[in-house]
Amino acid sequence: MIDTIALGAAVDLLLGSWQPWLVVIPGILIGLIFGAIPGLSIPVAMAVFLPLTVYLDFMPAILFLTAIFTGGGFGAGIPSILMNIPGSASSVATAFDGYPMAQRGEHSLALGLALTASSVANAFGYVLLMLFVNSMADAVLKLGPMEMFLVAAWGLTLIAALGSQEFSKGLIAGLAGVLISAIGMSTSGDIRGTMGVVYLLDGVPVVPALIGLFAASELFRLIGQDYLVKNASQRRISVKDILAGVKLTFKYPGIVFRGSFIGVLIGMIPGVGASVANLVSYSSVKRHSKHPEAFGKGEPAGVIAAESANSSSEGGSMAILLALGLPGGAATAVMLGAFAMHNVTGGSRFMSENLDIVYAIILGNFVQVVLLFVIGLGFVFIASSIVRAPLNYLIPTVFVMAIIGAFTLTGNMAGPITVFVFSLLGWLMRRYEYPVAAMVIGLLLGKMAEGELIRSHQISGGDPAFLLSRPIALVILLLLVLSTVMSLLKRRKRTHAHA
Amino acid sequence: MKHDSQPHDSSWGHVALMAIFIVATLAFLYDTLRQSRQLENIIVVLPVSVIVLLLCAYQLFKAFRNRPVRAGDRAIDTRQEADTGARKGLSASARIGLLMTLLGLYVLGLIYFLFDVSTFLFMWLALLVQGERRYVFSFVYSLLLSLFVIWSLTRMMPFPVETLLF
Repeated sequence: MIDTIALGAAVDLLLGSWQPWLVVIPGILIGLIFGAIPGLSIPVAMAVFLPLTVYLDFMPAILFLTAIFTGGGFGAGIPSILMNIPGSASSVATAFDGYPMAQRGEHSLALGLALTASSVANAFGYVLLMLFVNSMADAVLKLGPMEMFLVAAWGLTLIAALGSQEFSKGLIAGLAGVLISAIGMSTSGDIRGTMGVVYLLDGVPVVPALIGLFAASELFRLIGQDYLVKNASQRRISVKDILAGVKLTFKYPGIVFRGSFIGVLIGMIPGVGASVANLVSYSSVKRHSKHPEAFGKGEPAGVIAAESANSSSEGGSMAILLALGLPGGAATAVMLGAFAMHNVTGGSRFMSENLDIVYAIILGNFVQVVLLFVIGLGFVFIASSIVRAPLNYLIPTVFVMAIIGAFTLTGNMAGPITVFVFSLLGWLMRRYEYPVAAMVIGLLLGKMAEGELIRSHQISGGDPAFLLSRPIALVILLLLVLSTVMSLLKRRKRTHAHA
Repeated sequence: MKHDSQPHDSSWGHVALMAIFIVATLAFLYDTLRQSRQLENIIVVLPVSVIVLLLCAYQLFKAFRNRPVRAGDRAIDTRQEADTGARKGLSASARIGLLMTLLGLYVLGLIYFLFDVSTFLFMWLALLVQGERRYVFSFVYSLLLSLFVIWSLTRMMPFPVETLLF
């Protein structure tokens, strides 16, 4: 599984010069800052700093970008916990329990949990990458449109697992999200629902929509309140609590493992990645928990499940980038740009001829994980001070960051307009108890589900028996049905218990 | 549980939200069918739209069965103000309405006016709407934040944005 000669060469490559390490700490800090500001994301950070990598050798350039990736993966969880505003789609589920913990004054504990789960899971992802990089790539090549559609459909069933009081409201929100994702040019080239607005030709920008849905529903709700944490005595920033969070994470090794495993698996699937991994992991842990009713109310296991999955997905997406030369998402697409700038093409030939570089990237990431943990401890300490900021200042400041961040994401006014429109929608939905997270899932997966369904239909000629010739698809379908039925049965049981 | 959710479902605001969903879904479905009725174009949109419309109809039926009342919305406002421990002065609903309007004007300002000036005006006015009475401090804070954010934006974007100062 491991080529020890190449591994030795990788160690030489990393220890032979100080230059590769010089860029890692700035990279992690950039990732943390860009991840923590809603609207600014990991791909934006990587794209902004990509031109700098021209002046670096290949190895430091890739270490710099993976450092941003690693830092950003955790950074996005910070506003989720402190303000219920996910820094990116990958940390939506972190807010479900992280924010209730913050509201009862356990912000330091929640941040400690998130940081440790992120660090451990990130390392786990790269261990799997080191051991199974070739077989992981082979497995992904076996996934066709039918399997991809079922993965997306499985993701959509997560709507059922989200904590809306009424299942029908969750479905309305989720399916409305699917419809919104269908706006713009369809796979068949038809332009739908744009109302003549040119900005909508590419569809509704998902991250600004997500920021609008989450940020506004929360910020508008907070109007009139003085501080994020009501009780003044709970507003203190405690290193002791952060460290208690670190310790507490290790009391949930099964959840860290499950989240990490789900993260790597889903991270490997192009186009899905961390944004779905955190939701799948969260709902899986909630479903298997002995007390699912505690989830959504500040359950530490929920934070660990979400953060371990979104961080380990980095390893999965890197596996596909290195082994197949395919970017699984926007961040790895930017990294592919760095490959091209250094005349390197990822893929099986790159793997076989440059295994030492692949191992060096993986080993470099182990060091990054340790550095993330150390730098992250300091960063969360500073970030926690947000609970001491008066809300009358914090609310407009976050709105400005979100609007300007959305502009940097789209490069035109589509971003700010989307944030505003979805702000109003998110506020209304939350007011009448429609889960905004369900709409976000629909938005994230709708377009992918439609595209893959059309391709499956074209390949199969509309013959349902085609499914029987796809064993992986059958397994995914079985898992999908089982998880949905179990989720609905548990919901019914809970409803009866409450009645 | 049911008793708690009743004011939400039986308020006119909830009916309005359902109306928005229904009208938007019908408009989108009409536009999709008008573009093309090929299977590739409607394979997801048609069934999903039908389900959304049926679910919205169910929610509307429930709302009208309980007779929508303005008290429903008032109950939500009261509960929110109790939840958040709202300060005295303008009600939370009034502040939310004003801030929403300001946010809309801010986005319009970015489109038709200047980024730095619009950001500053939004920040300062939003602070005043939120009850801030330290006029000089809020003015300086808004100014510094706007300058920092828009300067960072101009450094990051590969093309110029409309500003007064940068």
